[in-house]
Amino acid sequence: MKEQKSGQISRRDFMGGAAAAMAFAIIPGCVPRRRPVYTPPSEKLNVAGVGIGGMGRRNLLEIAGFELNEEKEYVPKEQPGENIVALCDVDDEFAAEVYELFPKAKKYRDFRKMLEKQKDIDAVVIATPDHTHAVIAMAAMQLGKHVYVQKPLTHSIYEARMLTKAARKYKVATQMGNQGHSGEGARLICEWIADGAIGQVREVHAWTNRPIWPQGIDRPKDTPPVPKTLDWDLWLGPAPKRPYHPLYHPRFWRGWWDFGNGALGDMACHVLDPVFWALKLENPTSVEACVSHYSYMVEGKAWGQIDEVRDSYPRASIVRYEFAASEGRGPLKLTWYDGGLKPARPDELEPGRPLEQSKSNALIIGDKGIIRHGEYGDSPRIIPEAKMKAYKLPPKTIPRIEGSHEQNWVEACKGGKAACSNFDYSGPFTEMVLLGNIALRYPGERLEWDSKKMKVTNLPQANEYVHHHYRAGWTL
Amino acid sequence: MKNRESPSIVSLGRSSCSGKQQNGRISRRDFVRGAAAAAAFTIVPRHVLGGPGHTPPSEKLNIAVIGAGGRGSDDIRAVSTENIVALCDVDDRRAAHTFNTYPKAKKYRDFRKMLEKEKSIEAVIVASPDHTHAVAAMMAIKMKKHVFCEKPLAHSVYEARMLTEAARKHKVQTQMGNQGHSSDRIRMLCEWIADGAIGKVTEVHAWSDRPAGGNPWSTFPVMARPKDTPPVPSTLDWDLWLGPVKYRPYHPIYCPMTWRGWWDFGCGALGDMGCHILDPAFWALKLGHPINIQATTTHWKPEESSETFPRASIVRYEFPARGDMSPVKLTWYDGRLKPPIPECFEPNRRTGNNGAILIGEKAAIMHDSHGASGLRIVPESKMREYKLPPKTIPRVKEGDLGHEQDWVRACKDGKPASSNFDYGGPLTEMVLLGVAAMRVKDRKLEWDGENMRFKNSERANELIQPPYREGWTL
Repeated sequence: MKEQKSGQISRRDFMGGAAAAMAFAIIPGCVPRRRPVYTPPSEKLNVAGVGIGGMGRRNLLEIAGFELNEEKEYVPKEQPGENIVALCDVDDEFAAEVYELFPKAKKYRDFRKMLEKQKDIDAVVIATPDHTHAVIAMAAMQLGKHVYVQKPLTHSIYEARMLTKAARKYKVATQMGNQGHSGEGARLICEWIADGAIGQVREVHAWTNRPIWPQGIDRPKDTPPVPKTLDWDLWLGPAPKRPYHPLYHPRFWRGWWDFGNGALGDMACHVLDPVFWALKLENPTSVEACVSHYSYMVEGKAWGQIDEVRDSYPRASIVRYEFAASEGRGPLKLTWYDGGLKPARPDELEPGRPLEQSKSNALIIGDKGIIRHGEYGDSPRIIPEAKMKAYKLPPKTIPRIEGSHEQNWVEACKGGKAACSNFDYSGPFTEMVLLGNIALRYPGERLEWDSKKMKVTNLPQANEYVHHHYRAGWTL
Repeated sequence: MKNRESPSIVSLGRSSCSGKQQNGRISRRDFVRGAAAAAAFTIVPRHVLGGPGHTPPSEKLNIAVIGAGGRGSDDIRAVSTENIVALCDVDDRRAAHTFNTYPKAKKYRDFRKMLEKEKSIEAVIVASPDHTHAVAAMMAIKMKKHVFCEKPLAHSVYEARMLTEAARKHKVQTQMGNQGHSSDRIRMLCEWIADGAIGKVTEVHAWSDRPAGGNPWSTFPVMARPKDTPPVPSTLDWDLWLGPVKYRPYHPIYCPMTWRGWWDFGCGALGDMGCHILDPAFWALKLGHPINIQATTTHWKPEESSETFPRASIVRYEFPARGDMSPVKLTWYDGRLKPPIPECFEPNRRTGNNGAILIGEKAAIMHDSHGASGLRIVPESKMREYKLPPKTIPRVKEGDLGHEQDWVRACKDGKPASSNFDYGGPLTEMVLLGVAAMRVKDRKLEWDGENMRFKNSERANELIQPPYREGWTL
């Protein structure tokens, strides 16, 4: 047995856990069930995965109780995890490795058929590209399945709101895949801010090295053949039809308006999570953005017309949110930078100490101090370090999550407490993040936002982007 | 040979500088009076005016132009009242049109040969790419020629400082080519600020759409150094084009148009447009040396664009209190990035593609590029209720259209033009400090302006005075 690391289970704990599970085994699994179907802790959850080649693979392996061995191969842990009963992916080749890892799982290309045919599914892990999250999650929830959905929860604000409502209505266990939300860092930040460690928060600056995929480019004109292993029409799902191109699938869909949510949608769900949690930033009053250019000339190819952002997200952007004073917080400004742009270096940061500690970072600036933290809310520190050392840490009042973010959800599926990033939290969080992307479409305009009415109040045309635009045959 | 013919009435009218003027235009009466005044001057013998190189107003200046084919061709038109005695360009084809327009002018490829041989040259216009401004201007200054140099004055802070000092030492008349500096509007802005129109100014934001302006002159490449090595056109002296810069093979991506985007040759969006857009704030707020500079930029991956300016950047400067003026934070945005929409903006107000906003305690002043064009106090209600102060700063005849002629005037009457190197040098230094900060980005670089050194970065100090290729000196 390997040495215990945080989030892993020691042999002794395992035995204890096994004994505890045995004790629970007397609860019959066959008491009359109503939706939602909570699986007793003594039983294994039947989990399906949709979109399994990328992040889904990691989520499923964690849920199924796999770990990496010394040869960097995934092998089952001594303590078995949940049952992976069904796997769905539109790309056989991309999914092949996961198919092999779970030979007993039934294989599907179309999640609708999977949900229709396979009745034993209790819970669904959704890790497809952003543009299909909502339709899949909604279909699963309507059937009473618990869902774990990769971040950002959806592709549009409207979808996020609908999923949040649906999760409540169908009383299913939900979790968004912003795994930092299960971490220690996010909790410390919340506790410190509540303790007044940095006073009233006035400004937040967050930045990421993303995009690390193509953005600010035009739609490809060539139309290579669709690989035989891929169902392109299903990959598109509710998105408008367009010819297949490897610039979309499998790796680069994030950069395209129709499929992804750009750098902001990808990373803000991690790096803004602690401050969103600490200050309940559900109701931005306004948002504005500026974007770097988009032209052919940047590639040195030809004099380009400078098109406004049209098909793909910009290379770099700054998104500026404003929040009015609200319960427990003063008015504050939140600024997002991507594409390599960063905020000004605070004077409080010691000379020689790097501005950043990971590829995405945040500075939470209060009137009495500054907290700096990394991509997943990890390693928060008050700066300067002398101030951190002088700070008397407050008691840990927020319950800690033992085990992984996925396990936190599995426990919820089995009737435990709601998972920490369930949709009541992550739905409004995703809405706030995606509002920034609407601003990207109108550089230089300050969009005033009424979050209750889910409306941009001063630029009616922007509301088009609050909603989704589904292809015929697809509904939420 | 100096042309000693009586100047025509028209050229007298353009080069004389008497008479009241309104809106930079000259009335018929003023014109006539000016002509008469100029005519009166013709009797003053040249030696009476004294001083090295002072050409009496009655005489034409003998001007040479370095970089005659590009921007230089515009500058020449503006001084066509004078004798264009020599033209220099390393690119015969690009300069052909200018060469043909001035058939009497001697043609050169190498400015060093031109300055050595053409003894009649009194004044030189330098309009070559940025990386050769300083060597050309310095040689001319040392030979006591007056110099008009396109903006930015130089390619490095050191060069800008040396040119400024040399111009003073050799007592020549200079002008940087930031033509907006001759406008009435920039003077109005200075007067308004001095008048306290918006209170103490604490923040300045300035922005440019370059390097993504969308036009051939405003769009620069962001790319790796090209690997192909097309042959050098027979009409181009590539080695001379490179001048003091380290050798690299010819490629049309550098020359003639898009050299601005390459670190080695140009100064990027900030160097190109900062000299226009930051000019009003620099003058009105007497900014001088910043105390620190930090920049952030979009990625530049070594394999992708380590040799070109980034797609977009933000440069943040801090200036200390100056006399009774408050400390100022100045932020530059390029590549279409913009500052936050200021709180004083009315709902319908928008920013242009290039411009700046000076934020004071009481209101703000917004303007576009080039000499504070489109100058307004914001909000508009404050503009309307503002009682304009008296015009205390002398106007330049014909405003920004008279920028080159104002230098011609200075060469003749010995009274400095307004963007002479004592002004244009420090303005260029400020701009080029931002360029250096981009290359040592995300660090707060502390600047000791007096000693021309960063206090906390040797890497940045190396960028203050990049080495020249062998055979070239300042």
